[in-house]
Amino acid sequence: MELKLDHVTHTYQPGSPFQATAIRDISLTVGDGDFTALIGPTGSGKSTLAQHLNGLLKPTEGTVTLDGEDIHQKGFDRRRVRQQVGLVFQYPETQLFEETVKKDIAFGPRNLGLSEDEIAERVRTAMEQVGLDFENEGDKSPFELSGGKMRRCAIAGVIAMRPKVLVLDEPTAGLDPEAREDLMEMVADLHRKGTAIVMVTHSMDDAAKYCSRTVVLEKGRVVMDGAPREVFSRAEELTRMGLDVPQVLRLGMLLREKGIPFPEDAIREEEAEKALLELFGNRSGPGLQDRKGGRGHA
Amino acid sequence: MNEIIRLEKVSYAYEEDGPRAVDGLDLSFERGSFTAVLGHNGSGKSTMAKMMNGLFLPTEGRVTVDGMDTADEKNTWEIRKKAGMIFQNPDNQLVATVVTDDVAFGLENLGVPPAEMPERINWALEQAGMAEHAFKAPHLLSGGQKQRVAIAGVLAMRPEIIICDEATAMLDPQGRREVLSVMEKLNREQGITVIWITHFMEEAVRFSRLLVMDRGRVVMDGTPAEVFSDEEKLERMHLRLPVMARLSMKLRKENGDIPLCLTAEDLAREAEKRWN
Repeated sequence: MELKLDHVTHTYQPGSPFQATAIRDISLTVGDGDFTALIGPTGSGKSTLAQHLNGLLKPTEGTVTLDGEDIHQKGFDRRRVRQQVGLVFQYPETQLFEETVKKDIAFGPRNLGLSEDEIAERVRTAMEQVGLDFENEGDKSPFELSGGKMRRCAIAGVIAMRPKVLVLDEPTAGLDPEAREDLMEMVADLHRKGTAIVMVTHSMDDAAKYCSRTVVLEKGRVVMDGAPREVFSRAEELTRMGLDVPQVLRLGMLLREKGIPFPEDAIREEEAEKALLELFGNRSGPGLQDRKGGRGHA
Repeated sequence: MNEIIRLEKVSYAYEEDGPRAVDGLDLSFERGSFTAVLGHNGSGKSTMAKMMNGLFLPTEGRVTVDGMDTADEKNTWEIRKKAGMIFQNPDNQLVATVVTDDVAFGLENLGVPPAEMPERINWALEQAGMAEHAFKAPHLLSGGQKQRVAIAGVLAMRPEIIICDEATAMLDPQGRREVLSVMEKLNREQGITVIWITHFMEEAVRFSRLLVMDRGRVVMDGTPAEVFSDEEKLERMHLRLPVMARLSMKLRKENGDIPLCLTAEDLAREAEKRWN
């Protein structure tokens, strides 16, 4: 599978006084196995970009192709994109509407014209994947679920379509710390099982922890694109854009200012833990003076 | 003790005989205090907040704001003026097409004489750091700016208390920093009592008092250092330590003399002491 944006520009309400170009000349490829974080300040075009990935918005200029075919060309069955590329909006639980959790999740697969058996099987698997209990929660009203579970129910409705790419727009916004962690682990698990992920996020810690690639947007353009470690090495530029950097990276900068050789490329919590323990951990070991020349490795 | 809000055996149920979203709270807030409220989704934080300016009336018990009972209808306006609220969604709180009109909206409702308005509006926009945007259309502002317009709208009423119910949940990092800094300044310079509901542990460390709620009750109440020193209990409450606190505690297990650190600055400082 290859989903490709080629020189995509999108202008809202072109030719009107309200004309506004949200993304400019964006080229981006999503392939199998990718886990891409899309970051950028408010208004940088992240959500507009996300909505091009499944054909919900049509580029004003440029093309979007799925396995080499232009998804907006005449005769292309756009349902194919909708099925292969699942899009989870911000606060997706506001779109729940059915009487029961099962029915809500079945809505998409039913529209695909699948058999009842196939639908039931997909609902069961989707619920399992998002950590909902098919037996005990399947017949409940989705509105009886907790906030975190409502969100997972909405996501189950999208993954029941068996998309090859899952696009999530700020999936953890408004959730408590445990629900955030559970949701991110669930997304990481889907990724491990073969779904490519594109995630719009404001959490640099999550981008550092889970993603294999980080794309930074500013004013509608891609200004950085690379492995998280590469992108976060440009901390000053990110800060200037009003973005955060991973907390571990900031700790490292403070420590190095004080002459403590904390590894420059550490961005994840477990890397910081390892480095700190190497630098300060063992009080019965050799004295700090002896180890001062040593360097931790992430 | 100079308390400005007091909850006495306060309970709230959304339906008659239904479960209690807030269950027997006994709690007070001092004038000029700076408090963050933590708790998982559904722990009762918002319900409690809405009782503190009379938006909800307790099913049982009594809430008083500066001595006024919220259940007494003749206090309602006085209480709403005294205790302003900021909600999560910046788009749902603004009503006018120009920033200044939005800030004026509350004053008109209070019947403030038009001659007094410009001064109060300017002051409020100044305090919220939004003076330069006074004549812009709110929908052209960023999320953080919209929230600061909402804060200015509340400030123009000259409140003594501002309650923020996840006011930063929908903002980007920059917007979050802007809004929290404004609240810190209002607390420090104007002595406004701030109650800040949040899911961000990194925000919570900046407050002088933390409350943790679970099942409608306050289960932890102390300084950030006190609350974050009990990791097990926090996890049971579906919360997590801030990253720096977690790192410092792991280090403490190996190197017993490192104290609990709440921020990267704290941890770097403590590390430096042990390095040289």
